[in-house]
Amino acid sequence: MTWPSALWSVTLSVLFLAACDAGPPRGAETGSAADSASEDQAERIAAEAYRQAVVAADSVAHEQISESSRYGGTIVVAGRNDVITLNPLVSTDIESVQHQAHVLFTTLVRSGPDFEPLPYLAHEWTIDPEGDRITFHLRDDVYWHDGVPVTARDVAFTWQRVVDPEVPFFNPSYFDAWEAVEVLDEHTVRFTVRPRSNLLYGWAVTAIIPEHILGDVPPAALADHPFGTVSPVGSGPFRFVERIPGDRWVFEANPDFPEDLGGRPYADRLVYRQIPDDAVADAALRTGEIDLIVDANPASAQRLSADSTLVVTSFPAAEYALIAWNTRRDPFTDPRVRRALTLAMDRESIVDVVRGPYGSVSAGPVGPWHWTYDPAWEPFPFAPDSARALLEQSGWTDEDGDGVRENRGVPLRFELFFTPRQAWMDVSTIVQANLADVGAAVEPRAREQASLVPMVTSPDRRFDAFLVSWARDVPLDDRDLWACDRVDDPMQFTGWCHPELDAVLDSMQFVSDRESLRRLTRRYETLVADAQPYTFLFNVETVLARRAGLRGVGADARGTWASVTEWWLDTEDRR
Amino acid sequence: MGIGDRVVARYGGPTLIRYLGRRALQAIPLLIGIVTLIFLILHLAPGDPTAVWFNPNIPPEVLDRMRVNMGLDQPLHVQYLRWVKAFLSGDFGYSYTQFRPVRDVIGDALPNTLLLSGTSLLVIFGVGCAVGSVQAVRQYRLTDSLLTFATLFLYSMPGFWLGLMLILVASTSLSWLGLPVSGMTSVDHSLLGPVGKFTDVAQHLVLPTIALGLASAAGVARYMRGEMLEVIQQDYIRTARAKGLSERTVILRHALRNALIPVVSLLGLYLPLLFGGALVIEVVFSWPGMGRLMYDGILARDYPLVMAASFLFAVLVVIGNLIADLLYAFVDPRIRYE
Amino acid sequence: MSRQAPPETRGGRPGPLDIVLPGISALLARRLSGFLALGSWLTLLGVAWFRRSRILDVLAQPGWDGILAVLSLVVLIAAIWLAGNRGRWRSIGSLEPEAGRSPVALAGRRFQRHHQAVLGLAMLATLTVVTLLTPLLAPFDPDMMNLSTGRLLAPSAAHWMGTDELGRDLLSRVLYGARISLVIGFLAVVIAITLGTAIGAVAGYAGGWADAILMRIVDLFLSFPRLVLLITVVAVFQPSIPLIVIVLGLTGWMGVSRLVRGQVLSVREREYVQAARALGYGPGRVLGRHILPNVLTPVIVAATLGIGNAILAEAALSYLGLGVQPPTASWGNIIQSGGDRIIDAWWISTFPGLAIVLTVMSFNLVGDGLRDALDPRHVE
Repeated sequence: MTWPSALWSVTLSVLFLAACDAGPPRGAETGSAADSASEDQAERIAAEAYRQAVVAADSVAHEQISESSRYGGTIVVAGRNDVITLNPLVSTDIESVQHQAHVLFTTLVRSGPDFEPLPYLAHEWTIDPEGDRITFHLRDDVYWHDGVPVTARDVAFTWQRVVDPEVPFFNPSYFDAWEAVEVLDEHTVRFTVRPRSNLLYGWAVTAIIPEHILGDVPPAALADHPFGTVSPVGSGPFRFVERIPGDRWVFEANPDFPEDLGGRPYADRLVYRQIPDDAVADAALRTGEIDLIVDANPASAQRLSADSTLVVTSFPAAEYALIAWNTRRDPFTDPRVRRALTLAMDRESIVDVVRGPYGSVSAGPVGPWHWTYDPAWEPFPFAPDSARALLEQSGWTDEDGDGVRENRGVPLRFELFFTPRQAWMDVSTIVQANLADVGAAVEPRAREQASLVPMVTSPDRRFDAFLVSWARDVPLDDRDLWACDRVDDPMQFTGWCHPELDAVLDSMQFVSDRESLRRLTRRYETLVADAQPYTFLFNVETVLARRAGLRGVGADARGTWASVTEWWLDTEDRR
Repeated sequence: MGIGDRVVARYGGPTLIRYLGRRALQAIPLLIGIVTLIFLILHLAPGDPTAVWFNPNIPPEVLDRMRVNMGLDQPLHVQYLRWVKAFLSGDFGYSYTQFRPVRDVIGDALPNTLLLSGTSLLVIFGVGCAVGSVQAVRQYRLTDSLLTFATLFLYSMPGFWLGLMLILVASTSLSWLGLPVSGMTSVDHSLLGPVGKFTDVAQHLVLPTIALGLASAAGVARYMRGEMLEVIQQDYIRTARAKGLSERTVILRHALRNALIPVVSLLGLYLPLLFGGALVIEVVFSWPGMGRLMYDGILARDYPLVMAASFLFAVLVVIGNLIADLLYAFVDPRIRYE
Repeated sequence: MSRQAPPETRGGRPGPLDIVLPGISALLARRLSGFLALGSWLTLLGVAWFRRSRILDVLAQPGWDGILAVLSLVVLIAAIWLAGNRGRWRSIGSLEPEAGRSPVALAGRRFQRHHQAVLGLAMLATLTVVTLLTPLLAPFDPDMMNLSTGRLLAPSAAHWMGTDELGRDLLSRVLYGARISLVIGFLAVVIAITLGTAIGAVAGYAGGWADAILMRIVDLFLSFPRLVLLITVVAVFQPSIPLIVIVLGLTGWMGVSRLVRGQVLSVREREYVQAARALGYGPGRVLGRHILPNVLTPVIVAATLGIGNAILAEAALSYLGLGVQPPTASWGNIIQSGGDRIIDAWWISTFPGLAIVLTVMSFNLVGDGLRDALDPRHVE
């Protein structure tokens, strides 16, 4: 098998070198704006090819290294946000949830690359012919790290706590369709369910918790229970060793993890550190203090990839940035005005500045991270002339020649709120300049988060527009953004809703054939694009920066940690 | 004269113990006032701890449930009384952002801040006094002028900017030194032996201490120079020289000792300043200390944490002022030769 | 004791050359003032020449900023000329005026002998002039972005301090930021001094329980974790320049009050004060006309040094995100925006920091000089 792989390596190397020469990196100073747009496009394609070539060459070259020599070493990972707690019933942040589901605990099922449920703790499940009951058959070789076997009682206990209204579990809607549970025996549990698509997704991200430890803890005491932050006991591929608050979490490989599920992870130890400062994290990566940054700053990615000992990759995250308009207030009551404002924004430049090549202009609520994404569905272009025409049509003209349009004496002036992140400051400055060009005066206002949230979520909606980004789940359920019967809910800032959209979003939760889902998604996008209650700014790609000696790191929408058991270090890089 | 007598001579009161007791009593209403003020300010500020979890995924019912768990649905005076009761019994509650007892959170962070501030104090006074003395001894010569310029330059520098410049230099030109630019410990700290651990923390201390201490060291150097110059002109120094003692002995044994006394009285003043200055440095270097804790806590409205940390800060300031006053009594020249 | 001839008669009287090059006679007579006058003259003329197109642009467009800058330039040039030619028109036969012997004049001459203080004053003067003339000096509009080709450029001939992440010229932003930082520093100190003097004077003069209460309040403010107050205040009342000024002022008055109190205490028992009281003047008049003018010396020194501290404090606030909000440029928030990229784009954080250091240095130099000049005990 050696010469075909050698040939393949050579081919890839040639492609790799060709991609390398395909264009100068960011910061080239020649060319007019029109040229640079197509140059950007070419650059993006080249960068993408380069990235994929590197990843492919990487894995091919190391197929040769035998499995057994991959074991050993400590992998150190850094991220901007800390893991707050490993108790799934009270955690709300992404890092915690990822560590629970992939590192410390086992989940009932896990997600495949297409988000289809695959066996994990449950080695198989059967659905009754009527479709209203599902029976899970659990593995019998999974143990809690304190030796107690994982049983169906743990699964039932987990579900009971999760749906208990007194427990602050952050996403009870995962289990909307799960109505009752019955423990049949040590390793069999049956649930009564209502039909819906992506029924098992909740079980892929919610860790199973030990009944023998948390069974007696009343819901109000869960948040502060030491299980989450001091002495978690899991059942997953890594065991908890210690936590130094403000500094790191340390895990070690679980040698008893079942072979069928991957067996013992390659790394002996896994360390997670919170490093909130990007420059500091970059420096630590270069010196070898850490092996991987899970949310690297796109601004430093270029410099990092110039270092031959480092590798920078990225994948589309289910995260996008948007400006939400308060449609209850003038001038945003008029959808033409909202469309005009979107047309006036140079979103390509915004993406360039804030994310570099690690982002793309967003056309709507569905982005490249979702399998229904259709690249042919184009975002609004950057068309200031159309914007001006549209504003004129809507009655906004510059009567007094001061550069700001008015409508019956009321100027087109509004405040744009955001939290004081560097990225938002830059976005708001660009938006301000773009909109000034078409006669709208934007006043950027940075507010710390705790002050901003009550302003936008309280019923009187004290804002004109605000800038925010958030992450969605991949099985898309956007009903909490738009439902007409809950239009005064705190999170429905815009106050816009559409009855047909409600029906579409509801249907999306129940269809399972891909064609129908695609059609429904298109309809969703169309309705939102016409009305522009948000201006969708850009989709985010998560950037991973790692030392070249760290292999096996996957990069897809399931998140970085989904592949944690496959990570291994070259022998020279082990500490 | 013992310190007790000096204190009594300067501040009154029959004994040192009574004086300390009086100060302690005076401090109590102060602490109560501060803590109540902070409570009011925090609770009257817009937003609440649930603002951190700003995500449409989370249904409002869950956030309401969290508010109830935190007791935020009660009227303000009820919350205050509950809090006072808990405080008096030593229970500082649980941090909303870290889900751990506040006592543990602060207990982890406080020693780190004390380590940084303490080491900086050593640098400030060690370097400051040394430089100031050298300047005084070499007054008007090139060394003095250069050092005067240098101290002025450093004294005028924002500490966090110095920190950023140090990070820049340590990561590029001086990267061969291998000085760490973040955190307090390196990755494999727990695998090191005691000597290794000590060296590890010491290495991480270098840059933040320089950033925190250098500006204040310059200030102390300027002050020390002035004091030293005054002392050198005194009669007893001339007498010592006339007696034939070597210049070195004159300076080190007589001049320095007397010049140091008023400078040391600055110590008490620097204590509270160090905690404030440490905040920005802690943010720049990701040092896991109290400053960063308070800052993040306030932004996240982590009431129990901020209340306890503010109380602690106020206590430290009161102690610092007391130490400063004791030192003033100790060095007060009016009582010196009785 | 022989009287030394006052400076004006010591040579360097303005001659015919001074019409074109004011100060040259003084320079040739080896006097510092001549060097300064001629230097400023040439610099200002140079500015006017090299930025002539910009001046014409400014005059063509309406805009208070620009008009004021041009006016300032004209006034400054005229003032330098007058200063360099002062004494020209005094008739030859008239008596020379005596050199001043008032405390202010004495202090002024002591100040002049401190070379460092004079340097500080010169730096401050330069800073002030630069701030006034910023619209003429700045090579670019500080808010003009260049997203396609101008982002994150290293310092070069085109951009002396490079550009930031939105392509804005950093030199222009630093120049405009100077105004913000200086204005904030100055106003904050005005508030702090006023408040501190008032409280300290009342405490020192009244004595007794008023003194005790006021000093307790000072202690309270000093023991208060300033950060809690700052962050909460900034959150409740949204961050803006007036708010920052007020907040910095309210947290900086304590030292001044102690200082003033000490001074008032020592002056209170002097004879002229007792005389004033015996005459029946009310406390306000005694304080205002008799005590305070004699107490002002350390206050002036504290104020000068305080401006430097206020500038440093504003920078720290902006670094934490609580200060001046973008897109308005202030030195602190420029450093903050460059903090994340300190390794890639070191120039963004470095230059505003240097500007702060130089500015605060000049305030410290002047403050030290004032302290030595105004306090007789410190004469060496």
